Amino acid sequence: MIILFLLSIISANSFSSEAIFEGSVKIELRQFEDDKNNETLENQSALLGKINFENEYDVSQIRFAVSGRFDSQDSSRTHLWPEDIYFKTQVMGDYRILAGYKIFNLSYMEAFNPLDTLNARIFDVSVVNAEKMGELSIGVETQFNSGTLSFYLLPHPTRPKLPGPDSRLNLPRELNESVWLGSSDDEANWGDHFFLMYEKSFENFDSQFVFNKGIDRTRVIIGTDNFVISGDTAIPRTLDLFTPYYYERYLTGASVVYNFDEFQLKSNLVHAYYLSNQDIFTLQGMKSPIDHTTVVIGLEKIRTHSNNWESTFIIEYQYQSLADEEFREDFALQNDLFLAWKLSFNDLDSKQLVLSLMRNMEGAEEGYSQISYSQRVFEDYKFEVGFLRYEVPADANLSSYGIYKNAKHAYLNWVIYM
Amino acid sequence: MKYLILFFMTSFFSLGIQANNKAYDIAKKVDIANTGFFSETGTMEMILKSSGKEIKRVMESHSLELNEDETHTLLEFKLPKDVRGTKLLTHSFDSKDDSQWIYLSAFRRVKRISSSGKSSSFMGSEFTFEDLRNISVDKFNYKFLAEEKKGLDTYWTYEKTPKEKSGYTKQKVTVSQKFTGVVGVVYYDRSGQELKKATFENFKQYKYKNKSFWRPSKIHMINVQTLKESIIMWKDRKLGTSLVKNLFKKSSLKK
Repeated sequence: MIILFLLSIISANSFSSEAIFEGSVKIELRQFEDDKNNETLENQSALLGKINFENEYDVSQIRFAVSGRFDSQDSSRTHLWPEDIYFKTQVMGDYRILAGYKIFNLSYMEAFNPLDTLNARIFDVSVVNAEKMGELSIGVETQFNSGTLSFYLLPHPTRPKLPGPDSRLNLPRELNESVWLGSSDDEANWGDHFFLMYEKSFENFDSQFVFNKGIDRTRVIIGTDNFVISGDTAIPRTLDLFTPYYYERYLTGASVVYNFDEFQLKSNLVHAYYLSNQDIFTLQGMKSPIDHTTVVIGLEKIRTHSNNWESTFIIEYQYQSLADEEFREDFALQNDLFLAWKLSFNDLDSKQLVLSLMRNMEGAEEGYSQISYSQRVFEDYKFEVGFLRYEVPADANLSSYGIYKNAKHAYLNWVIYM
Repeated sequence: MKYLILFFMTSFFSLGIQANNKAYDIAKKVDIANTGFFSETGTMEMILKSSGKEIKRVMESHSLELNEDETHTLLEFKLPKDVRGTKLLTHSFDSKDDSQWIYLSAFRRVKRISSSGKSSSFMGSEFTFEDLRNISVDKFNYKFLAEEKKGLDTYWTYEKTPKEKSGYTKQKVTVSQKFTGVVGVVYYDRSGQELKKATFENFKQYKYKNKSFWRPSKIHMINVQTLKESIIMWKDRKLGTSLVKNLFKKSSLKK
């Protein structure tokens, strides 16, 4: 793929004169509340760079988009990752084929997107919408019955980036390399993973149906598979309980958006069926993945004010039906309500104020609240300031909200576009 | 006497119908004169002015006539840089509600524009998503207002009120006979107050398959309540170019 990219630059004259080369640099500053722990960082600064090159010729397109973050204090946040590095072309009439790294977006909601799990993410201090990394993909898309049918092979799952011991996420030490577990237990790095999707819009509806076999990188169990069972008790044969385990699963789901009157109704129905239920010994006891069904319902309404300001009101609810209720505490976002108000000032600087709130609906004081403000400055600059506050009970499980126990922070992001 | 009153009433009523038919006929004439171009591409510059400040936005536009009932339009932002790659896709229909989607490049996400969102400002400008749709004649009721000669041209003014949900209660439209095109629109807000004025200027003639089309190269929109202004100017406009249908699919919005 890199060779293809280089060839495209060398032969740029043979491509369109509309080649795009662009980039941005983002300065990220975060100030956390003092957690009385000298080994973690109270203030963090990082530089995030993005470059994007695109060129088109006739029915072919090449794209090279990579991102990199540099944090001088926390090396676990320093990464370089592909977003989109692919070659796309149209063949045999109406078939579009693509090969390379690609970020997919199957999200219709603001907060809860149980179908949008095709890419590995960089886990940091946000419980929703963590950054995605490109996934190695070879696929084909075509029009079918007025909709779009896509089939992609995803042969080499990208490993999620997990935070290190300096991070303000509540992890006790640096984690080992992650392990895939699937139908053949120690799952190989290369596998028969794929997704099949059909998207169709009709009248006031948008819909998508997805079937995916892949590694579930939204849920991790941290522990060890090196243990023995003695009677009813599991005994680890190692003190190293810090290996992240991810499980292979089938994911079947559908999303529908429906416009009615002045409202937009959104819904997701997703079922996850795991191909392995191998137990892992963790600090919280024995854990294994649980097949579950997720239902999300959302409602959105936009109101334009007399001064041309615009309010968007969003309400979303997610419920996860678990086979075994005793495991509910292991899941974040299993019965949660999300509320948001976005105020767009519709001015030259694109000023926007966003207030959002997430609450657990089972009475546990779990959730977060966030306020952010952003605007453009001098055409090529944009800044965002905000405050993110988590509510986490002292005894919260590390597989759930417990990980965000000390993640309360204020932030300032300054982006320079080039 | 009763018959005389009835005669005047029916005459007045039929004059009203004729006048309203005249407005509808003018709108239909403009519609027919401006269709049959097959496709249209161009670069649009949008200048936003507010409180002495000015900002430029650049978009590429593509339109494709699928049939008499259906037109697809795609706008892609090139500037400012923070919204570069943002796209607005509109499927306009004469016989049913239009559909609009926006692709937010920063979030890599496609969002359907709800009916309440159609009266929202388009990227901070004085234009709304509704203003950027293809205008279907049969989605309005018409009332003829005036005919005026200026120089060698004749201008017709009529009022149109929407049959479906709209951000405007009515629009006062002025049509040039010479260009068979709209040269001015006054928009009224939901409380019936004058809200915005658009003037269509610098008409240029284009030809496709022996048919001539007049297109304005500039639309100047002024919000009379806030005095903010937005100006759209077209460059490199071409009619009848080859465009693929897939460009206008919702699934093609994502990169």
